[in-house]
Amino acid sequence: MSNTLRSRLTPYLFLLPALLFMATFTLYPLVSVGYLSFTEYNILRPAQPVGLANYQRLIGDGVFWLSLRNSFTYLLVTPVIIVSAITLAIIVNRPLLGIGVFRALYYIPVITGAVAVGIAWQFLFDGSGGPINGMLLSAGMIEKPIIFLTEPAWTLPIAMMMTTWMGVGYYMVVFLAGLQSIPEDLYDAARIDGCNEFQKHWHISVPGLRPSIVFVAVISSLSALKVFDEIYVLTNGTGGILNSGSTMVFYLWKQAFRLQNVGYASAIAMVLLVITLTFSIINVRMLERGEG
Amino acid sequence: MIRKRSVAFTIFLTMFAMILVACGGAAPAAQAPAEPQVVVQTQVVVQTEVVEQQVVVTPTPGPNPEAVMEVEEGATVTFWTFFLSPTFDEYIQSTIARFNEAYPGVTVKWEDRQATLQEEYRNSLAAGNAPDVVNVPTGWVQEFAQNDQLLSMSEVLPPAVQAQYFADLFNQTNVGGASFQVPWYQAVDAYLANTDVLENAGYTMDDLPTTFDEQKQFCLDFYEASGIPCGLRMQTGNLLQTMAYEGNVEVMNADGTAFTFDSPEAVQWLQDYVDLNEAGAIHRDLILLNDADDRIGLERFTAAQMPFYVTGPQLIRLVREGNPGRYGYLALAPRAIGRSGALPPVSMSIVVSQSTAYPKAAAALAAFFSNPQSMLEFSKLVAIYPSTPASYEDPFFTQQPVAIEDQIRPLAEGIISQQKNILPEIPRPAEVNDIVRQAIEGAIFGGADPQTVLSDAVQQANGLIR
Repeated sequence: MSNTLRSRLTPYLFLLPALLFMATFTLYPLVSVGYLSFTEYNILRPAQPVGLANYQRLIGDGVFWLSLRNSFTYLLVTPVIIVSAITLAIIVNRPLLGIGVFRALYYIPVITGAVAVGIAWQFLFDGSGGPINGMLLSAGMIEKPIIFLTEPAWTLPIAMMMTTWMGVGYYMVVFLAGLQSIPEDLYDAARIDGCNEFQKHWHISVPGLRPSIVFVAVISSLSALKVFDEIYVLTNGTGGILNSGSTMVFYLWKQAFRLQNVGYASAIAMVLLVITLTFSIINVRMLERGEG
Repeated sequence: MIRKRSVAFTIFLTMFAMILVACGGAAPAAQAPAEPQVVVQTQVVVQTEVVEQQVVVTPTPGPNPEAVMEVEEGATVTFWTFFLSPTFDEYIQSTIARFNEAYPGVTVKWEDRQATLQEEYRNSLAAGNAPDVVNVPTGWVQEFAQNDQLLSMSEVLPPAVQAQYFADLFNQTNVGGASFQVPWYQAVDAYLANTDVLENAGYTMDDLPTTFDEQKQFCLDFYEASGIPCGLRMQTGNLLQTMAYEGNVEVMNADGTAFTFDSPEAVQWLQDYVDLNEAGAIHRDLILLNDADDRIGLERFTAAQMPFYVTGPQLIRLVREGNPGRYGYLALAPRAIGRSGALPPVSMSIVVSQSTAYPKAAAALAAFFSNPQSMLEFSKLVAIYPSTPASYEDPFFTQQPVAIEDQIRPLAEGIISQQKNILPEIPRPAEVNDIVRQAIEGAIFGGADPQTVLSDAVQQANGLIR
């Protein structure tokens, strides 16, 4: 083997393990799902080709459109998380006694399992003895308990609150790292110029955190589009009354594993792929611009 | 004779003397030296005489009475159970040991599966490495049978073995007119009542409803008297079942070509629940709670937030664990019978995979675990009931019960013998169930007209089978 050929092959050999891994665990499933989306398949019997029937069914499926709408609604979590996490990061970025304890406390939900959190939140919003109802009743704001999780209007907001609560600690750490890289001189200068606390952070912290904000926006919005655990646990695997909490991934799961419509679920997965891919491209562009 | 008497007298004297010596203990130091004693000794000489005689040989044991069918020699059978380990490890292992005595040539590999059993079994069937014998809730049988994944027990089991079960239980999963399961342990859904809550509202156990119509009125009246709603719950895994039993609804036409669950009976049944919900007389978050979430209802019951809860007596232990003080206020009563007059089976089944290499050995194992002896032994461990009439001949089922969870036991045979499936074979059951669920949710929680939602649901369901 000539030296030229060897030097050309060497990089590919280094890439080979990763390529094999990706081909097995990403490319092959992707191609399989693409193929299955054109079939009727229930796991127990061989897949039967049905052409575009699954995609045609999507157009007339009200629950699919509701799930799509819910997934996009879920993106509202992203700005809430960003604002909450920046606020928390600013609060804990102070040399106060015991501040490390607070940082750890805010981070605990991140490392707590979604199922445990879901059960705790179910209890919080329980209609018979839940603390939220208890507080509302004792404050005289309601006359009888609200059975939150049987009210279609409440399912998605509760799941979104839970996602925010679970994620804010993680993003707080990201912003905390960002804050600590902003030179202290800038804050001194702002103070000399007469800025109050809010102005100081608005004009220095927030611009200084721009790369982190873009990063968090990308990551949290993609997570929001893929949300599943919260919905599954809060609604006991039903998607909520009248599918009120059903999101794209939840609906995909329900079709594939509850109703055994693997072909149809694959079609939903392909639509989700297109959406997340488009979203990712936009986000990556934003990220590049942010870094630039 | 006289000689015999004198020998016996001598032996008696000897023993008497020995007892006196033994009872005397140590002699005190101040005592006089012991007098010489006369000790009578008896010597027994055993003579062994070899006698030639005809030896009676016990005949080789006949076939084990529990070996009821021919099986493949050297078979290895994998058996999956559902949520039985570790509580019932000893029972399963001892039953397998008995099976090995009956069928010495068959090896059984037992594994217990838990919450993911349905998915695991489905995947194993698709992957071609399914277990030979599986314990599944009876409601799951139809899906696997309709997809040609199960062995027909009507064909593989000898008629005498089929006859060991209550006929309505053996035939409860009707797929193409054959049975694809053997009924294993049964449950009895009963009213688990809180006598304290009842008495506080001026009610007694005798006031509990006995029919579906009485149940509606009871819940409305009880809520008005006490402000405490009833804890009613539908069979969410098979809502058409609830509709058929409670509302006497014909869910499909006679030839099974179209759904008909938008009839006046169905509308009336749904309207009953709408009325109860609007009156606040039922816990609205329990009514469509998944079957697997029985604990939530039990917790609510344990906290005295309902007069009764429809559940199996085997779950009373959860109430006792959650609130031991409540145990003394518990009582069981038969649940209300629906307008159909029939009782739905609440059962576990054992199925055999179509792909098994040893169909006879696998079927023999299924039949063995559900035979009268195995069922009886299982019933003694936990409040479940046999699917085999012969088990009830044991005094265990006729004794007066002591524990509250056993109160149903003397009535069990009568209840189990009445349980039968009144539903036809439902095509695409999971999807149809989802459609029915949406309709029920629409009426109860969405305020939609019951007739409209049911008619829409029938249209959608019929669209699936056309």
